[in-house]
Amino acid sequence: MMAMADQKGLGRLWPLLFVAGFAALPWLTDDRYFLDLVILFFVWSLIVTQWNLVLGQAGIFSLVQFAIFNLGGYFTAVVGVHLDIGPAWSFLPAGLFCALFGFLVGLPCLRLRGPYVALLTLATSSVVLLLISADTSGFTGGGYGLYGFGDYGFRDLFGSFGKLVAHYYFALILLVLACWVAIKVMKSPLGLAFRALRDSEGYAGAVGISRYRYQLLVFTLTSFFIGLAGSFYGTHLGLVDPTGFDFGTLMLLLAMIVVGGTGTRWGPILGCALLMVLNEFMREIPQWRDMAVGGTVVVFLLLWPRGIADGLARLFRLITGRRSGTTPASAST
Amino acid sequence: MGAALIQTIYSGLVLSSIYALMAVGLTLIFGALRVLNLAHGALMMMGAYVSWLSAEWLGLPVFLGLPISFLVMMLVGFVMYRLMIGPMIGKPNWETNTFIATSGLALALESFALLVFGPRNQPQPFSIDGSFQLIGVTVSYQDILILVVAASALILMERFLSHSRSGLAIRATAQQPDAAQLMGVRQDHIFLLVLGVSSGLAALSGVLLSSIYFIAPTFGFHPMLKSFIICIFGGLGNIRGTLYAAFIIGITESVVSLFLGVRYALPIMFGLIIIVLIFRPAGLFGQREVVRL
Amino acid sequence: MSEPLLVLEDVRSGYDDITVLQGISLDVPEGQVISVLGPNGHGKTTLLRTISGLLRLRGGAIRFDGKPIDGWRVDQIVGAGIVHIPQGDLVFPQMTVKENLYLGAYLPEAHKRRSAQLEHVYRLFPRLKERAGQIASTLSGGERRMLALGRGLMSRARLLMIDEPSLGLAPLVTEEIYDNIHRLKEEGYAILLVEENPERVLDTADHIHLIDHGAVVWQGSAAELGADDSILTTYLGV
Repeated sequence: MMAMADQKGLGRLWPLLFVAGFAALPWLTDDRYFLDLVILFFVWSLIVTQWNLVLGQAGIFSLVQFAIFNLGGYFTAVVGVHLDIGPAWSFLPAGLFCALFGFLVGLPCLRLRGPYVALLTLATSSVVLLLISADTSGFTGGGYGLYGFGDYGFRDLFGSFGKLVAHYYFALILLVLACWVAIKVMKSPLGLAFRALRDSEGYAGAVGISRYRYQLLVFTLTSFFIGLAGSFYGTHLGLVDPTGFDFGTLMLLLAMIVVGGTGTRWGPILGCALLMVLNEFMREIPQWRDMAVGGTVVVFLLLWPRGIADGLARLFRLITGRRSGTTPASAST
Repeated sequence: MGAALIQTIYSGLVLSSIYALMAVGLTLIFGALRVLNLAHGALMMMGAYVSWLSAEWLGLPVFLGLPISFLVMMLVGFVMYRLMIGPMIGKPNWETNTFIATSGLALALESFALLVFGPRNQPQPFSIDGSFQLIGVTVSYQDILILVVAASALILMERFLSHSRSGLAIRATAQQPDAAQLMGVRQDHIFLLVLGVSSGLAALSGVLLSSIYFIAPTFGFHPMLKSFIICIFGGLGNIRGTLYAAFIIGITESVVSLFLGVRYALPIMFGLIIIVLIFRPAGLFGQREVVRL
Repeated sequence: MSEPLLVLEDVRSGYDDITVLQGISLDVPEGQVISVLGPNGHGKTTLLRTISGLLRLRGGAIRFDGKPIDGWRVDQIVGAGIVHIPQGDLVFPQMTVKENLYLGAYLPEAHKRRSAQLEHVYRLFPRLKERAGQIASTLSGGERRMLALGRGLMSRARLLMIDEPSLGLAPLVTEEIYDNIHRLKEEGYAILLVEENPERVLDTADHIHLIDHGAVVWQGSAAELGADDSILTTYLGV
């Protein structure tokens, strides 16, 4: 999972171009549905890139990230409904709450080996969902969810369409910020050292790099950003409910990572775009969509396990004759 | 209160026998292939539907539902191995990939079932009505049927694993894969067999479990999760441990449900397992990284 | 003069990106003990794993009983009569001694005669018979070594490949193991013996190869090696 194609110069330009392009979008169209979809794209991109950090970079096979996203939304909703605190104020606390949650989940889980982590995080998600939807006291809104917990106030300032645009930029900035921090972490001395020594745990321990600590750090940090995204999206929708935890959406997000490729930074975002297209086409026929998602995941894992981004990166290297900055390691388990 | 408790423990026992069937299949796959089969719940669900289909659509006698389901799902297990799991083993990241792939398959199968059968709950035809009283406990004939089927299946499994040539080969592959090959054991044949047997067991447990509750497209998910918790508790790959764990957890779940309500059963079980894992990372009966059958 | 039982010609093999064996050629004639000596990590185990089929051949050829066995599956190679007794025994830890032995007779031909073969192995290793019902992981080091050997004898072996029989054993126990190896030679087995320590090998082997960095750097008779101390030092720095 380690091929990091990192072209200098031109490589740095692409992300800037994309951000600029997306930033210009609200001035080019006033199709609300489309803009709303792009907001979802930003949010989901954030989730999958952060999740990919956990999966691909830190090598933690965790499935709880999706639940954490929902928890971010629920935190804001609960605090809004029961404590009358507006989303603007609960935004950061939501992130912190999720970071704490991630930390607490990571503490026991990360001490264990691969399959245990996967199962336990999956079970954690299911339990969180169960506890939330089973609650009849009104605290979490049970099966009905919560709504009416306020918003950021953009509507009063800019009007209805202005609110949409404001949320649009909010999400875009959040995505850029999260990616930037992710890159910083990966390129930090700790991150680089960890990458280099990922497969030789004994040696890593000998030179003072604790795999456990690094993984816990990545886990907590990504939970923070995912929580922020959850808080934002809950506010944007104006509603949180248990259907957000739906298994089909979890697999959709995983599919984005699989299709895009875990080895590259931007792969998941590409996967996100592609799968959102699929998702849109099949919105009316959810069972077919789920089958398509499941089938896509299986097919890609069988035939193109490194994802599209890896294939594209290789193609690019072939065409330009460049060599990548780091050598792809033929990963052994 | 006492009577309710005894009834609860008794129900827990019946449920545990089904859990044992579910969990043993899962732990077998992990032991021999090191694969976590997230499609296990979907296979259970399919098994339940096959039994239903054979009675409702094909008009076959109801009691044939069980063996037909077993055979059909065993074939599905073979196909699943040949087409999906087998090709992935040994490639980079295969542990993660098989996990995700089986999840994807589970989603696809559940959606397919939803499409074909609709979301309504169906009753499981493989059941007997009626009950009787035994020392103040209501025992239904269905319970007896479940216990008999489960016990028979587990006993047959035990004999198979300890006395047959293939059974020994499966255990050998789980305990020491390279040495097993050096004895002439063909790994791919063993994997195929394990997938088939495990899927068959999933079918049995699906039929039995749905006879207590009902058949529905997603009914296999939570039982599968419970099975995994049981496997972890008993030590992944450790059949004996898994059996003990199934009964401990099954009865505990029943008792907890009695006092706190059914919905808190899974969260509490889960909380318990986290605590156990903190002190014994390989499960209550498991050993570090050593796989036993 | 017919070809030796096992013939290796310029064999190459390795793991992932690394080629460990750099072109090994050696013969194991019928009924002889051929030894391969060398420090750890230089290809001794890789050599045996390549012959038994656990590792794929990347270059060169291997012939057994005149037939090429390149690309054969492990079970086919075992069926042909090559038994690999692996380093560290690799006994089946949660099975009894008897179950371990029976697994040695897994292949159909051997399976039919397993009871008779079991008696034969028990005669060679009475200690195993005593401990027939004992779980393998509770055996002592020497007993596990005997179990691994006995297990290997349960099939129709013509060539035994033994990887470091003295590994981790006390001198007296090693003595016992090597007595058994001598007996096996007398029974007519061809043996390919891999060792790190040359001591025992000098009394047992007919012909010795020294391996360094995946290549044979010296070969000759045990007598030659025994006569000249400098060979080992020169080639292996021992």
